[in-house]
Amino acid sequence: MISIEPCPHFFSKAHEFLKSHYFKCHDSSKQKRKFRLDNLSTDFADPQVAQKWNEVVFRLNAGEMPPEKEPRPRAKEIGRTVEVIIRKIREGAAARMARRGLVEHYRLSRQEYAHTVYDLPGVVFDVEAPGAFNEDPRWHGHYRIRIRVSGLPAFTGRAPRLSLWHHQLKKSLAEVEWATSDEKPETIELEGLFLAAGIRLRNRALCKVHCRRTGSGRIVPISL
Amino acid sequence: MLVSRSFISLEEGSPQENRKQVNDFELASRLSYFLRSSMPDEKLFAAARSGKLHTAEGPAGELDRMLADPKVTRFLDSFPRQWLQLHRVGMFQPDPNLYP
Repeated sequence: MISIEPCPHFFSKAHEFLKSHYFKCHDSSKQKRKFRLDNLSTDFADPQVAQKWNEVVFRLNAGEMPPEKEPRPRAKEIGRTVEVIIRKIREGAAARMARRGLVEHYRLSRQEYAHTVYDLPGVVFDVEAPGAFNEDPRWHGHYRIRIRVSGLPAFTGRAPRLSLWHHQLKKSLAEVEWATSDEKPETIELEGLFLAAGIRLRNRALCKVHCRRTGSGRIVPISL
Repeated sequence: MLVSRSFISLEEGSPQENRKQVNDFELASRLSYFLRSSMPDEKLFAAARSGKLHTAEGPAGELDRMLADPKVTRFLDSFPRQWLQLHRVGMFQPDPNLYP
């Protein structure tokens, strides 16, 4: 499990920068707009703390602070500090994601669906009638296919919409999407029963198709 | 409701907790979908709720009860068909030259 250690001086240079320009109005002695920057927590895995730091980033980027009569910091310094804070916020978000338990969904086969509907409200529903349900894809004769798709915790940020295509299913597995950073998509881990099958990942944001024929291994890393 | 994600799929795990083992209700679902291709019945839900499935003899008792239930014919029908790929029976004609 990943956790972000709260460190008092999480970024010494950035801390120095904030101290020299911003603590004057936002520390223990004086709190403009009831906001204190000097004791703002650095536990970025806490969503509320991360939200506050997001606000700080917003103000820094907008150039709202320090007020005009004070000496202005250089844009480059502001940029560097903002970068450090944003990186920390992203790490915190990744740690939050890693802490969440994995939820797996296994779709019922149409026969199981029919039985369930019969057992629950007592309705006989012919799933094999024309126009009802599509035939279930078979894997070595078995209907219910386990496929688990997991994105690594690094996959946060904006979603470039990755979709999975499987030739045996003859369709893409809908709603399988990851969020990953646009600039640098990283490794995706797939685990499923389609061992000898080709799984194709499409990253619409980059307009590239990434193919990988899988061999005999269970986990298929696909580097984008 | 009949097309909701939780209805058409078996859910295992929850975002609030990171656990490796299935809980009692998930175990009940697995048992029930394995043996009768359907959702757990009232007795199985009760067993899961009371934590009986967690005990050593709990699952065995439920298994006996479910095997005695007439609904087990669903399992007897569908499992061999999937396992032995019986849908392929009759797919290949014997060669009349080899087997006249």
